[in-house]
Amino acid sequence: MKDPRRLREIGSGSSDALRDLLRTVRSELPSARRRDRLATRLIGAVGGRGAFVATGGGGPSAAGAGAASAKSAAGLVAGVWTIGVGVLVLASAGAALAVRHAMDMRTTRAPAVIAEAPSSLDSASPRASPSSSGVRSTPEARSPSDSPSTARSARVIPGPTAPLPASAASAPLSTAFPLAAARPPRHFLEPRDPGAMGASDAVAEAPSVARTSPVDVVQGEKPDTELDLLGRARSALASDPSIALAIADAAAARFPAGALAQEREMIAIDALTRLGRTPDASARAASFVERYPTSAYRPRIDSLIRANP
Amino acid sequence: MFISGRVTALLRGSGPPAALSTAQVFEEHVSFAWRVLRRLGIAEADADDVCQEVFVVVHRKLPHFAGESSVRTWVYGICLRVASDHKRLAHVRREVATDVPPEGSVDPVQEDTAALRQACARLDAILDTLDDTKRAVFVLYELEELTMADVALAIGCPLQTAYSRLHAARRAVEAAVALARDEGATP
Repeated sequence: MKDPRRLREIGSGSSDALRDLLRTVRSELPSARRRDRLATRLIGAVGGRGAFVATGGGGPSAAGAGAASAKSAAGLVAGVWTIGVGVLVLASAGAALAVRHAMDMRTTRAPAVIAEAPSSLDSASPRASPSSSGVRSTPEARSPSDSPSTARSARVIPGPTAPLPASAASAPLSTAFPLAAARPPRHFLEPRDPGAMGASDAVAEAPSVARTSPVDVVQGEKPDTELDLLGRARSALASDPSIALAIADAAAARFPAGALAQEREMIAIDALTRLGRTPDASARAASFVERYPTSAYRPRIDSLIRANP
Repeated sequence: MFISGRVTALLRGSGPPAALSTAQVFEEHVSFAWRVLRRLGIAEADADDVCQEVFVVVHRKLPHFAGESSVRTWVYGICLRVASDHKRLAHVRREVATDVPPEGSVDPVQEDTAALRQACARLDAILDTLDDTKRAVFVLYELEELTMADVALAIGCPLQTAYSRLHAARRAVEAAVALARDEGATP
């Protein structure tokens, strides 16, 4: 059976009202700021930036053997990722959050390296090494109840002797989403599957990256300008025209009277032709010409439409 | 910024995607994941949490992903299941303290446009009338523009079933739009 024409397209038999609705709604995408925030939270949830950028293709059995290559790949990807997401917003509060989460992960998952933790975190770290602060106590001497009952420690999987959750320790990963079914979404800080990747590698790497990362000072919070959006749309045009189109539509919604409306429409028309949606491209080109009859882009539009009859 | 060129080349290669990182999958797909979660009926206030949950699952399962589908289809499948679990549990769950302040009203983002918000609210009201299985097919095909084969793959149902759900969903959606029009509202 052949896929029917989508309702958003002209000629699908849908009403104008529905078509407009579907087109508009597609442009509801998370802002760059929201994406950055999600990235920061996720880094905390998965055990630090090292784990986040480490490649996961090898599978658990290959994790040990693949540690070295995963590490170098992680470095490579980290660079790309920093440029790619345009920040990773480890800035300000985000950095504190990421570092804190990385530390949280470390206190619960990797007692061996706790000695490196800043002393400010020792009080919350039940297994604080004697050498890391003035507190002289053996791990055995401290019970989980010694931990300060701050909001933070309440969120963290408590106690040095707390075993890994059974799901992480033994349940096969292919079982259907126990995490989603069993717990509210805030509780992401439990240890992830230790076999999922080179755990010790990730743990050792994450905090130091978080502490010394040069991206700390890269960028504050700045709203996307129309130019930012269109720049992003244009750079996505060749590789993924559907993204380019979505961004152009988002720009249209956000800046309905933007100074770069013609550029925006050019990107959208170009994207539509690349997607093979010729009728939509033609319709959009026609309304462009109607609206900007003397536009300098006219020849380019004509050639785009001619080239994709 | 998107780095789709490199990532896309990686993602679209045949066979299992060698050495994909969570960061790459996140960057390439987080926008779509967030959007599809919203259309599946996740409230904006919950969307960040649920989206994070999706990528935590991605992170855990990525080493086992063998390229049975495109990465995008795979991520959509995870979105469907996480959203479904979230909705199922929503009525018994009360949120606790948050790490990050909720999205403020001043966030200068695309989605704050009044017209866009209105349109989303209208469509969501219509989609709310569909059952979850029809809604999923409609959203993945009409809004996310997967092929029907990929829709069936993401949902995990036979292709023919996906087609009948799509047709049923389309009829229901058009009827709701017509009803809104007849009642004088702009759908």
